[in-house]
Amino acid sequence: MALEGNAKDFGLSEIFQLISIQKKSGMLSVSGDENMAIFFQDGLIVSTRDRRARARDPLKDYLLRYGFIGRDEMNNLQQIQARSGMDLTDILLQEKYFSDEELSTIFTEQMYETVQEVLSWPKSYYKFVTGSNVLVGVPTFNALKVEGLLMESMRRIDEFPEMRRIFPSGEMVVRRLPAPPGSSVRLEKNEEIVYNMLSEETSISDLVSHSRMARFNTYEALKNLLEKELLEITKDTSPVAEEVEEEVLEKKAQSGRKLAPTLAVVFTLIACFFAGEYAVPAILPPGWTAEAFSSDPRPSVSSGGGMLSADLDEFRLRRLEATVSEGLEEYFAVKGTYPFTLEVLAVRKFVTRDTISRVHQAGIVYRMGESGQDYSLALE
Amino acid sequence: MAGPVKLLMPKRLKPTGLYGVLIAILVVVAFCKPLFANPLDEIDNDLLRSYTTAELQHGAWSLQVPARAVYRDAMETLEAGDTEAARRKLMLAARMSGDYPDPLFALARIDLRAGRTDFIIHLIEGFDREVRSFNGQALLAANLVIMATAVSFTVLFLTLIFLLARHWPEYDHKIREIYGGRFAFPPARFIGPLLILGLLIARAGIALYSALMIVVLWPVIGRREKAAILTVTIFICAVSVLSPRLETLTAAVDEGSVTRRLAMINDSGADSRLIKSIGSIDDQRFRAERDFALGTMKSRMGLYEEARDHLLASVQERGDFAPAYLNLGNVYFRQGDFNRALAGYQNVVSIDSTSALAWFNIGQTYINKMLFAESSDALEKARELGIERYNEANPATALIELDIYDCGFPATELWRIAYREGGSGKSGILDGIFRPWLLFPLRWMWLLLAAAVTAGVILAKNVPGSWEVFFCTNCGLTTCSDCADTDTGITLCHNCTAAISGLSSTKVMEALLRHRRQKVRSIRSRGGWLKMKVVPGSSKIMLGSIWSGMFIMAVAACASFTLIWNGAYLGDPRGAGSAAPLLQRIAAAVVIVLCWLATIRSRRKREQVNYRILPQDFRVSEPEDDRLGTPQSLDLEDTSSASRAAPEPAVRRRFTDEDVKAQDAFKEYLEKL
Repeated sequence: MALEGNAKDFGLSEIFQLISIQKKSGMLSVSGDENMAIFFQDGLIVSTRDRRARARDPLKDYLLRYGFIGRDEMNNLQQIQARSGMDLTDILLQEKYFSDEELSTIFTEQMYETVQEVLSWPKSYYKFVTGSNVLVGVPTFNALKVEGLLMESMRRIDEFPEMRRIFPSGEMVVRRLPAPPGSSVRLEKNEEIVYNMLSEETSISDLVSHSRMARFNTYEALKNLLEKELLEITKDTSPVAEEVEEEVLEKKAQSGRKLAPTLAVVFTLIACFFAGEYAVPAILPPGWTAEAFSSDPRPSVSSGGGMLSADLDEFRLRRLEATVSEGLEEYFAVKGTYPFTLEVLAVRKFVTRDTISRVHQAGIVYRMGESGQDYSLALE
Repeated sequence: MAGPVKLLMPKRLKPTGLYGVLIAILVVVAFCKPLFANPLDEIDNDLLRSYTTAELQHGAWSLQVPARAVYRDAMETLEAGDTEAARRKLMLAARMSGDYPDPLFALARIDLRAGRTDFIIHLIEGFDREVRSFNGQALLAANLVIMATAVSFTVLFLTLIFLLARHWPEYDHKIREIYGGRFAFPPARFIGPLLILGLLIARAGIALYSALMIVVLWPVIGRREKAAILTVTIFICAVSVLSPRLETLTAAVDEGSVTRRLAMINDSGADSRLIKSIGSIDDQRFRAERDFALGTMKSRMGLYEEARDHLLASVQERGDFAPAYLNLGNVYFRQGDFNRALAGYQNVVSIDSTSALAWFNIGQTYINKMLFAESSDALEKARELGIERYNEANPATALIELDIYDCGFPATELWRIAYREGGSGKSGILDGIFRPWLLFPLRWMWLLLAAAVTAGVILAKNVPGSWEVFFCTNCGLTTCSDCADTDTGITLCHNCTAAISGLSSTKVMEALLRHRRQKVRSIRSRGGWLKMKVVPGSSKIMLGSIWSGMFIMAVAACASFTLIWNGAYLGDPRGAGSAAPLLQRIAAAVVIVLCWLATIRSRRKREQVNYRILPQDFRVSEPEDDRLGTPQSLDLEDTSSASRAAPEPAVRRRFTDEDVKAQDAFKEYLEKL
């Protein structure tokens, strides 16, 4: 049975500690402002990336948000990920975007930020599913102790409001100041990075998006630089709107060449239709008689001179007459007289109804003789 | 000869040796009446019985009309449930006509249902009767030729269609490339189908379409496919070349032809209508045959003088016409002029020494001349030459007492007449049957197809290299020299190349190529159902087994035409009252279903899905990392002019050794400060 409940009743930090003390492995799913997943292995936090299809990947957001990878680059990586089925971290390593150590650092910072975010939700619902099987396929780079992570997260939660008080708006523009003469200033690594980026006036939001470090770290660095008098907030200065050059997607050159090929296709189809209607019957007509090839035209009507049928229609007509004649003979043999009408043959099943209807369609007329001992069958 | 007779030998008569016994037997046989009941007495209908008797008296040895009437009565009796009575009537019908097979087939069905093994005999005899008579042979041959031609055209046309569907991507690729490079609308993928639609709208006929497809396909199809297409094409060319000669069949089945009119004397008794029909033959090529037929008819009617004149005219016209001599001899026999009769028969044996009829009639003549020894020899000769076969072929001769037998037109003679009448090729029945579909004269089809094959061969040898299309090693789709990429060591199409462009990791490239390969394979296997399985045999052709595909297609086509034509294209007017047996239709439908099942069971060969496609020695060279830029040293006192050392936004930044060194240098600088 999974461990689940409302964070209001039992805080998330306590849950974290419980899992850590018990050295459990599994996935803690937290639903608050968003849905997040935190993976534990033997009580240590190993990942916060939810592999479920609809869940967003916090690592992608982290990389994008803080300028590690550009948007186009990330789109490309996402396409590669979708096509190859490889994990993002595998692709980043294979394509040498980052080294193992660098990626591990980024991964760790991302976990810190995710946990900090989760802990700051006012309302949340959690569910912990135990078992090592939920960890299958979850890439991990670092395993964090819950205590250290909680302490760091709490620290950040406590200190960030102060930073926000100092730097209330992301639109604030800052610039660096030279070190006072005679002073020996020692900068931390993050402070160095931020200081390096402040060669010109920059808004805080731009700084955060390009600093390649977590937001808290950037703000912390700014605060420290401000305290060390190496930073100045430029007041009443409208931030220079950085012109973000958006790539203008050029439309495919539709240089007015749609009309010509379309018209050509339509005219060609129309021409083919009329060719089929008029040209083909004229050049290759169906029912073209042999006279067209023969220099010895035959009479087309076979009038009892024992001539072959000139065409298929006459051939079929003769066979039809023969069929009816045979039926009449058979009727005569059985009844001693010929029938009054041909329909009698169909009724008595001497011939089929289809034969009789074809006889009528062909215009063959049957007449019984006066005595019933003869008949005539002629084409009218 | 009459039916079986019972010899009554007085006890006092002691035969002096075998010779005397034989003479006695012959005398008894010649003059005794049969003691068994006449089968005609089994006919219930008095009118039919008198009609039959009249026909026999008028020389009709094949009582087809009475046999059909009895057969119909038998089938009604069978439907009423009286199987034994129906069986008796069917036996009677079979005995009345030697070339009417339906009673025997019906008997075979009854015996099969009853579990009797006699059905085999009836079946064999039925087929024998089917092919023995000239009418049966003619219908069978004509229907076979029509069926074979129709099936050949169908198989050729459908095979070419499916070969075109199979190789269509090779054409479509070039069309798209050429068109797509110039125009954007209509989309390039529609141009090929639009071209085909235009051709279909023109409705130029199967002949031209087939020729066009041969020309277009020849450069791309393989050897086996070429051999298969050539086989069917050669058959069609043979039919086309022989079509003028095949019109012989037209004469054989055309009810108004000279051949059919003359053949009627074999089937019907003499009557004025038939005499008028034969008398109206004015084709001088058949004068001898016409006179023979008229003489035979009139002889049967008892008009011996006129019959003699006609027969004399016939033999004068054709000195080697044995049947005319035979019937002339018969006329003299009936007139009592046995010497002339004998002369006539001797002429027959001088032309054809194997004529059993002639020897039999000679024997009978000798009997009348009291030359029993000679008669015995002649009758023995007749027996050796198979006079019984004549009786079997004309069972009606058993129904009436005959001294001598006259001769109708032998089947071979009728075929000769048919050849002379129709073999000139002037008629166009075969052409008329296929013209509405081919829209091309059948007799010139060979020229069209030969020209198509020749054009295809020339085209195959002269295809420009840039037009050559081959297949991507990864996804199997078409590519060409213009759009293929071989940098990886294998041939990749444009899309596969684009999928791995800019990547440096072999593992990622393999994964992407595998994904694309599987995706393409999945799309191809899904989308091809309709074109692969809609026609029997199509899937085999699409998958490369062309011979088995064409075979299945041919079998299904045969069955389909059998269903459409209710058995055969040319039905027998003498069997018009009976519809095609249900079993025949069911069998045809079953064959079609079996062919279709064989088609849908065809599967593409399972290919290995996951495998390395890139060559083992393929390595991507490390890209030059020129986007990072060299980190610049910072001047903390001058903040305005210092260039940004931070990397450009959205630029892939990599932590290189230079970065680390720069950072260390900066740290040292700050420490110094």
